Amino acid sequence: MEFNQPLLDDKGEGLKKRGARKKWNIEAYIYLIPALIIFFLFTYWPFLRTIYRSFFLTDNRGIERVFIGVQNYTDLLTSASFQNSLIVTVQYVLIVLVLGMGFGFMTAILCNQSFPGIRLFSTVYAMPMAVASSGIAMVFSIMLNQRIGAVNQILGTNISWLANPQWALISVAVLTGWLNSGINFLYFSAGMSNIDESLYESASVDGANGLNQFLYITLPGLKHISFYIIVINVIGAFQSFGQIRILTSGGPGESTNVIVHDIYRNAFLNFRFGMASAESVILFIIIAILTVFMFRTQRKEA
Amino acid sequence: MAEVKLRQVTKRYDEDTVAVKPLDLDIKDKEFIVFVGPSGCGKSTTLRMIAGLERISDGGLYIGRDIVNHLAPKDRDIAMVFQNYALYPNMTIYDNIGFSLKMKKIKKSERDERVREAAGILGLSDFLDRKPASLSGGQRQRVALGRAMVRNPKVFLLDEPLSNLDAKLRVAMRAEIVKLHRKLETTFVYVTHDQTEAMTMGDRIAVLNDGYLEQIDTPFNVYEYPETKFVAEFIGSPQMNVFETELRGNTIKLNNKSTRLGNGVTSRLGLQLSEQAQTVYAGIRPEAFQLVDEADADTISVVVENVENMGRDTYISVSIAEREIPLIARIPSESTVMIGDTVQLKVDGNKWHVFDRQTERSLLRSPFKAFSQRREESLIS
Repeated sequence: MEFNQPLLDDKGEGLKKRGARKKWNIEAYIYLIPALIIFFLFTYWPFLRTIYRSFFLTDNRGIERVFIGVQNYTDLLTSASFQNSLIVTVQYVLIVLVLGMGFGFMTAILCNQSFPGIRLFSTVYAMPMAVASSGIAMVFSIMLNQRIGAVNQILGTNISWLANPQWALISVAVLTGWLNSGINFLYFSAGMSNIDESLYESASVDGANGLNQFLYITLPGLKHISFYIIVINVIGAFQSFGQIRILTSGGPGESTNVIVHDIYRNAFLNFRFGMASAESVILFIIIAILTVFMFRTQRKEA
Repeated sequence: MAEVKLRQVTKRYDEDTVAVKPLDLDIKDKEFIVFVGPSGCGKSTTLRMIAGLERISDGGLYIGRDIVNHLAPKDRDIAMVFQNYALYPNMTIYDNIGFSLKMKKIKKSERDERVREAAGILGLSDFLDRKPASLSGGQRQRVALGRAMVRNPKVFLLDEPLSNLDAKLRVAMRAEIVKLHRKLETTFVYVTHDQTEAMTMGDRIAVLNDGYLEQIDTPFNVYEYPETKFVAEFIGSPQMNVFETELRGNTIKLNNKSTRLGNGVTSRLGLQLSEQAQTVYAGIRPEAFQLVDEADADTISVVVENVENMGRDTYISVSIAEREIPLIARIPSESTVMIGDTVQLKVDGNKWHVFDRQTERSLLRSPFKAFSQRREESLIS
């Protein structure tokens, strides 16, 4: 140690100098400016404005008129409609998550085999990713039509999928789950192809059959990517809007009135911009807490 | 405990790509056999066919008395160590070693005993609760060995198990694996591209090239009596000097000078010596040269182009007329030869190897061949 001391001191000084230079490396910031400007204009500024606006009563053009403190928040949290929105959103997110991940996972497993025509199937399963949510919502609104829709025809049922409060939420959630399954399929496929082939070979020499290989190698190998997929899906599901707007407009009643749709309704139908802003902030907090929580659990496991 | 027999075992990927050409091989019970060859020679494919990870296109594979062509890897009673170790990253070392026993539904208490015993032998007892990621390369390698060990398999298959380790560790693990083989008394089949590993570890070495088995013999015989030009050049470091030259009478042309072949060579030559020149491949190892002061009938006079001091030995490169690339000769490390010097090299006439120019097979009979032939025959019957 003693012998090393002078060397370390020398280096330490050198490091300090380099560190100091790094601190004032203006060049780096100049490179960052274009990105920062765009982020600031389109993300941070609106976000800050949203927080600011959430403390005001606004006129119908969205201009802050009366400062009312946290009244928008207290009103919201006590309103039955908002509480309903929260419950609906949670139900919706859960269905989307389970279906979207389940379907993506299943299709990824199917396409992990090699057989003729596998490419075609892969493309088909990944396709929902490339479909615009509002576009496919239009298609679904016809397919789900009670009298002429394909769904009732195929199932031989006579259900009013979008007008029945019981079915409406399930219908939009299933559609969203299917839409998400494309990208989930891609993530899971990438995760599976990342698992070292020699692990399977080793397991097969060790005497593991197909099921055991799946349980002991495939599933654990997908743990990390699954966590990532859950985060992405939860955030995405909390934010879905287009398909709900087109298929049900939050109805019937308020049975599909998820938070984002409620924000839209408050802002652009009821012109309560302050209230809508407060709602956005609450949604932000919910997603932030969930994400932090999920990362925490992930880190604990790792 | 079992012998492994390959009968005309072939691997074809399609009509044109034949990775392993019909291969006959007898691996004896408890033998340590090394497959060695350059990459793409089919050594790993052969090993994987024995393991059952690769389908056998043609021929028969026997482990013990049974033909196992159509058995799944898990039913062949083999254990395999992979090049990248293939440890299960999510399991602890304990679970990694015990995985195969768990799959076999062996009782927990027995499993525990066997895992701990293997870990003890390999010095892994302190790491049983760790995950593979927190282990060093050498430790991971030992876990892979332990995983194979606990099963008491009939055959151990090792696919380049040391190539991911640094040079020092590789030497240490080499010795450990040989020790393990002696302890377990099981048949070992070991694949490597490193001829030093092959020479130091194997009871016998199988040299493969381009899907062909070039030679299978003891390390000594493979080195001293290579049956083909390929084996001659592949085994040994620095490699044997092989070049096209003329054989006339009992002399061979080296640097445009006729040097005498020793009796040890001419007596084994399966070729009628004639006064007419015949073109052959001649091979001579670097250590067959001797640095002398005086020129005589058996010396060549050459200019030193490069000097490599390896510590114990020094290798010099010299140009000769028959070869475009320089010839390498070993000289004592205490000699003070420098680049540009003209030196006299004496050739040991008994150290020549002669290969047919067309078939590239050795024209010399191995003195052990008659014996080893008989031994092989008795094994087969």
